[in-house]
Amino acid sequence: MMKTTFFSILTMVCILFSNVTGSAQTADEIINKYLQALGGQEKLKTIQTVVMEGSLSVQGFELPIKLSSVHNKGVRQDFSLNGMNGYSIITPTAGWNFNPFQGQTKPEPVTADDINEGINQLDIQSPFVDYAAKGHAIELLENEDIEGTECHKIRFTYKNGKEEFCFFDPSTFYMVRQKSKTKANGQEIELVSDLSGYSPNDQGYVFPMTIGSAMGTITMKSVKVNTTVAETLFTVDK
Amino acid sequence: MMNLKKFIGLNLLIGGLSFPSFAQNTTINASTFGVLEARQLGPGTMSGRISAIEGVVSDPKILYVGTAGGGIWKSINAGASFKPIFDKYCQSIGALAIDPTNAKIIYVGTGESNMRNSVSIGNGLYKTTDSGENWKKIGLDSTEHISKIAIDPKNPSTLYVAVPGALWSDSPHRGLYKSEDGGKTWSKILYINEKTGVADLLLDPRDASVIYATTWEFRRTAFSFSSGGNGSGLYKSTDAGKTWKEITKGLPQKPFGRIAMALAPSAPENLLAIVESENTGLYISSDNGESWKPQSASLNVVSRPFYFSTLVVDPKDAKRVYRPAYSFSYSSDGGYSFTDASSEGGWVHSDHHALWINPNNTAQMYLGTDGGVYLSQDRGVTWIFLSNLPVGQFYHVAVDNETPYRIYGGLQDNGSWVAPSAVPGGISNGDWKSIYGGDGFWTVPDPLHPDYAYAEAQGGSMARVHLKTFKSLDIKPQAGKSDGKLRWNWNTPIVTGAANKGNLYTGAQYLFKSTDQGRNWERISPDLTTNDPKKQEQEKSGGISADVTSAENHTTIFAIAESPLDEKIIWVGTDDGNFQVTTDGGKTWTNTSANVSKTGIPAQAWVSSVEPSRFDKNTIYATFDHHAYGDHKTYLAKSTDLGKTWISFKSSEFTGFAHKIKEDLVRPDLLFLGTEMGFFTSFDGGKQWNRMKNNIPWYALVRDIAIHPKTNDLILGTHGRGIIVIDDISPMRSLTEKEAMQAAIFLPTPPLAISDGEFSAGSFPATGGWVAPNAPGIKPIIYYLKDRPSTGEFSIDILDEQGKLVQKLSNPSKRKGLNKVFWNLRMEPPKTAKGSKVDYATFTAPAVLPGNYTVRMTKGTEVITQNIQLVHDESNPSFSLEDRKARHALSMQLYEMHKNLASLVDELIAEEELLTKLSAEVKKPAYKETLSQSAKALYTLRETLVPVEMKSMFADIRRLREDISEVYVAVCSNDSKPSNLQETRAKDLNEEIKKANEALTSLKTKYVPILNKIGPKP
Repeated sequence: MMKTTFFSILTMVCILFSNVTGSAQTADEIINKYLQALGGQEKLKTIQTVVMEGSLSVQGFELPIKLSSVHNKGVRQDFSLNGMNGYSIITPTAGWNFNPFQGQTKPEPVTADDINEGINQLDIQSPFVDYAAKGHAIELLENEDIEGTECHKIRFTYKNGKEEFCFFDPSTFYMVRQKSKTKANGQEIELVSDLSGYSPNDQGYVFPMTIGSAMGTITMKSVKVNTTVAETLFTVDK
Repeated sequence: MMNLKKFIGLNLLIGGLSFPSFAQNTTINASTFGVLEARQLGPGTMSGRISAIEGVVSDPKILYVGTAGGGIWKSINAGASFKPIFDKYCQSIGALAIDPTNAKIIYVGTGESNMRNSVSIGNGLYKTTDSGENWKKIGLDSTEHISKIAIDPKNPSTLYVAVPGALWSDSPHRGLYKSEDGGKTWSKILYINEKTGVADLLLDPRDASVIYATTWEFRRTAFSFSSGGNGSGLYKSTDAGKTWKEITKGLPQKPFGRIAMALAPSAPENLLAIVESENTGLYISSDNGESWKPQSASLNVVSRPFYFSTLVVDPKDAKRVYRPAYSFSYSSDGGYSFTDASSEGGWVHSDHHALWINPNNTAQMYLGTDGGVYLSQDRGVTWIFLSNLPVGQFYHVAVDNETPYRIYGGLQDNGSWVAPSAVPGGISNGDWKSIYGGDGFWTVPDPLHPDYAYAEAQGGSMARVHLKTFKSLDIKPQAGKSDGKLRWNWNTPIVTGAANKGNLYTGAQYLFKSTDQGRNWERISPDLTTNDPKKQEQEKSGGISADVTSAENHTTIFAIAESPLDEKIIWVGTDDGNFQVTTDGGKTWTNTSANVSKTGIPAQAWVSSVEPSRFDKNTIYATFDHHAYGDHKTYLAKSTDLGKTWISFKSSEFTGFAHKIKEDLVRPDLLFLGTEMGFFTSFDGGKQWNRMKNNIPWYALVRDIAIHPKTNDLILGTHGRGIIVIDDISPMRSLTEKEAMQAAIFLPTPPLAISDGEFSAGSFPATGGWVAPNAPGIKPIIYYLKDRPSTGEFSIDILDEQGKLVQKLSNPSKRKGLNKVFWNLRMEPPKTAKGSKVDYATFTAPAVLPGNYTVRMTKGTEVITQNIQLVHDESNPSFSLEDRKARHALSMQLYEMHKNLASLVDELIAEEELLTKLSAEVKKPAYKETLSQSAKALYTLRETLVPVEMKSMFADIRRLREDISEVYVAVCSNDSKPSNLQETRAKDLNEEIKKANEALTSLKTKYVPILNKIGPKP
């Protein structure tokens, strides 16, 4: 759950609203239109914290989820079930899971591989902003049909070598799907997030309020940008 | 299930109400139905032909397996699991090569080069630079067959590709190709003539400018095969392919056939070659290929050189030689003597085509056979089958009318099989049963006798098989006195009547009919073929090596069909271009082939399938296959006047020669086409066609198509990806062009019987092998969206007749086109009491009662609704409507009890927190003591209701909540009337809740007066 949700966080924090149409020819043109659709790079650069609240829904059952993030410092996901509270934390140097639903009685550290996988998600202003200066790379691949829409496909390669494939609707330049593989501890897991329900919050930031994945659908009810997030959230009592 | 049938009937009716004919600019196309994702049933139990295996030397648990018709499969765990990575491209794989300096770069040559009669062609060379995530075609488009790719280990942008080239025709696109820029540009560096290609290729690992190549002259026709000729030879270059010399010293007398080579990586001056010739045998060289001497001619070494072209030397031990061929044999003395592999690990499927040895651990190796991949950990002595590759090569598929229906089919080198279409827990390898041997082809159920099926093997062997004992009785018709020798196709048709299901037909050059399950036969036609004697010399087949297997049998009947509307109308197509019809049950025959040819379809093309219409007895569809003449185009045609005149269907979408056309059972203008390279659909009677990509490999070899009349499932028999099922295609029948112009609509949902489905998912998860999920137990709600909604709310809710929300459905799809969402026919689960462990009632909801419900779609500001009727499930005789009502009443009582308990626990927690806080703040000792003690008492009370402290996940603490849940979950989950003890237990537990409430009231009498005195609650 942690890995999937972190990808959702990344995606959700990255995306803002705009109705831009037109055809794109190069990877940079697509990314520029995407960032423009988000309100522009300058707007994104103002994001320092994000707090989102919503739930994961499965057949009428809803698991409340809260995501709290501070740019480049930490991301924390809280979830509660039957009065129990669990969380996942990732920071540039550490990560923790506490999952009392499966019988954990105290937080457990994630592996170095998990931290390496998760560290890219701490850039909540969007890794696409000044991607080259950050050491990332993009490549335009052949278009791919995503659920009936022929989408632009971009390979995004992080500075640390991790790759993600991002698919953009050519009519809106919203990112509609993000696909990646995590390779940690000798295992490879493919993660696919479908993004929709783009809506502006009351501060004018637009997020995909619905993230579908193999585990269910996360629907966000509120998103607050640059609200106070205590960095103590990213530490645990060991 | 009884109800299900009834509802399907209604569904058919709904689908049958309108048969729209789409305009040219239709918005409905294959993409519209992308949500109808196919299930790939495999199985992995017999797997299929493997043509190439390569592992990553630096990380040998990463494997790539190339298959004859199922694309490329990748494992990252040494074969524990595989995933397909080439599903958008040609599925016939000839060769794989991994860049030795960068394992992310892989080259794939499409077009297998095991040149059997059924081998499929490729369309060029592909390259990935990211381990198979993305592919690009980089040329050699017209080569058709690629046998080897070799990369210069010191300069990996230099690569060589061995191209045997076209099998069925002359071709200038053969030879040895070289690229020095990673595949951007190519030059041909060895070419003999239009009949001779390059079969094998070796680079000297010490110096890659030393190249060995074998040339091969070969040809198939529709009625013959020849391996060998003056073009075949063994060549060497010492200047990276600029110049070549032919090596003959010590080799047998020419002409040669196919030559397989190997060199010893640990001592590369030592080479071995199996030279097909008048003296076929293994020859060895110890002087860098300059001279040779005979070494062995053991049976497995010399068997079928055109088909078994693999020879491998251990990477570290120059004397250890492997010969995967008809069987697997190995030598420890440089190929002088061979031993066959042990069968201790189980039978190793015969016919081997690929071997990869892990150079870091040479005891470990992977073998590719006609029946999948095997792993050895002991240098090839014993083998373990990897049963997780669903790449079976079906020739035909059929279904019966059992519930669940069974699927029948025959496969290349793997006989005939039967499996149920649904099994509790999913359809696993063990559910597939082998009912007949040899190469399997037509395997058809007896529609009147569900315990019997008809199966056949190559060349017309055929049997009636009892499906419980698998005992078979030979029913092959024998020649009459004046019949001459019967000529049976490799893939002889045996079919049951469509109008009279008691009829059974098969054909040699004559059509035979039986009305008693094949016990007795009547010949009901003259020779329906051209009977051209020039095409009947199969005993000469093989070329240098005799190879007479019935694969080249010709001037035979290949397709038979009785009209579903008139048993006297029978269509017969032959492999030499005749297309005959009788309208009087076989008394007289008319050859319509000349009429077909007027459409431009070549006269000699095989009639690969015939499909008499079920709506009009004068209408016939057919596919035609001309690939045996080097023409791989897609030919299909329709006649509406019993074959007098024809129109052919054409589309720029088509690829691959045509195997099968199928008319829908309900909507006459809905047609399906299977070709050697894809599955296509027409929604307008054949005017326009679309390639289907809904979890079907885009270029799948679709040999046969069936549609189930009750479930509306579409079943594909593929030659490389096993059986593929698209569940319930009724939405493809009912969506109209007018509807598709609307922004959003619901498709009609047939009345649904309230049930979780026919089968449980089982208990322990399936392990190993290939397991295909069953179709969903509950039918989805189908809706159409003209465009994908990206902004704003999109949700689908279920409301009851009073408009009250029953359930907010999770994860409704948002595709452009058809969509689906699943409702489990239940309410939302209850709010359950907070505790220190998960309570399963939190995820369990009562089933709703029969009645009318509303499906409500909210799309931005737009709201669309549709009624949906739920009915009692009449298929379960032990669960009456009264039982259902009783279950609902008790489950709702328990549901309310959970809610009440949750409220009580919430109140206890709040009061505890309040008293704990106030007891710390209050000054008066008596108050402090009372409040503190009361808080403890509240905690003690809560402890009796829910687990409050998690000690371990293995400490199963049960409290009142768990007791309620035990009854609640059982009642909600059981399709049965609640038991007497469930009823009384619910009452007793409700009393417990009441008592707990009373206990709280009693406790409050102690502390509430104090609270009143110290002030209002904060």
